[in-house]
Amino acid sequence: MKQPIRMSASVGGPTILTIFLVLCLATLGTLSLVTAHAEARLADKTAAAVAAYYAADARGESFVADAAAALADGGPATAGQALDSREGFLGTKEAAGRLWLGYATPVDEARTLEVWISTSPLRVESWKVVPNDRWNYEEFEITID
Amino acid sequence: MKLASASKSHIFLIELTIALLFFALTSAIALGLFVKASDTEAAAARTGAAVVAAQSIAETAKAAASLEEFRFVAGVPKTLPYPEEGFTIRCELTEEPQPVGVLAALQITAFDEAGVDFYSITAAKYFNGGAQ
Repeated sequence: MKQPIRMSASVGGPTILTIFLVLCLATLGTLSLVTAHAEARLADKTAAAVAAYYAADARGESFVADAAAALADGGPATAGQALDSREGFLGTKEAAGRLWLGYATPVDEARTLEVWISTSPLRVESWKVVPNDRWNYEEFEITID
Repeated sequence: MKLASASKSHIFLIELTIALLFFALTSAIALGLFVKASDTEAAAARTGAAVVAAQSIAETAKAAASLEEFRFVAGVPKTLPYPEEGFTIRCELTEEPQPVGVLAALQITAFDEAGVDFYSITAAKYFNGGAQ
């Protein structure tokens, strides 16, 4: 006897398919949200770092203005003394036959803006951002017995 | 036999309906996640573009050889629209007279289409006796 062909739908198939699709959607949705948040955090950090740099740069320019005023007031001989009480003043040094005035201001937790200007005439000699943590070479000194 | 087959079809239909409802519900939640992610990413892209634009203006101003040049960078034009990125940059110049020069500061602010400021930097330069 010939068996009739049955076209019955199997119970449980749609549930398994739905669970699979829901899991896919949840995974992709979470991943895209995590990526977007990471990108937003990176953009915010970059923005904060740039703003911090320009704030420190403005403080450096303000120091140059104060140094120019001190130089105009009493010349290179007294400029160091006049700026001594100023926050961030590094001191004076002699280089290339001229007096140099130094200034340092923090950019952020990890970086500092270091400015050196020379007197007579007033000129910016060095304007650089330096890391706060310097490499300690002695810590990794190799000793050969 | 016929009754059993009909009952099985009914169960399948009920299951399919429930599965579709559940899928619609979770799809709506997932769509919310995607929309939130898209908004966050758009805001991050806008912040990044504003930082680049502000930095570009700041560096142009800081490269000025004279106070007149600095004023030119600060004043022409005072507002710069970035329609594709969805923000506008506004420049404001302040000049602080010093004993022997001028300390010029250019505040560069980015604000969105609603007029809300979301990023700002200040580029300053000291001009000794008018020229450095």
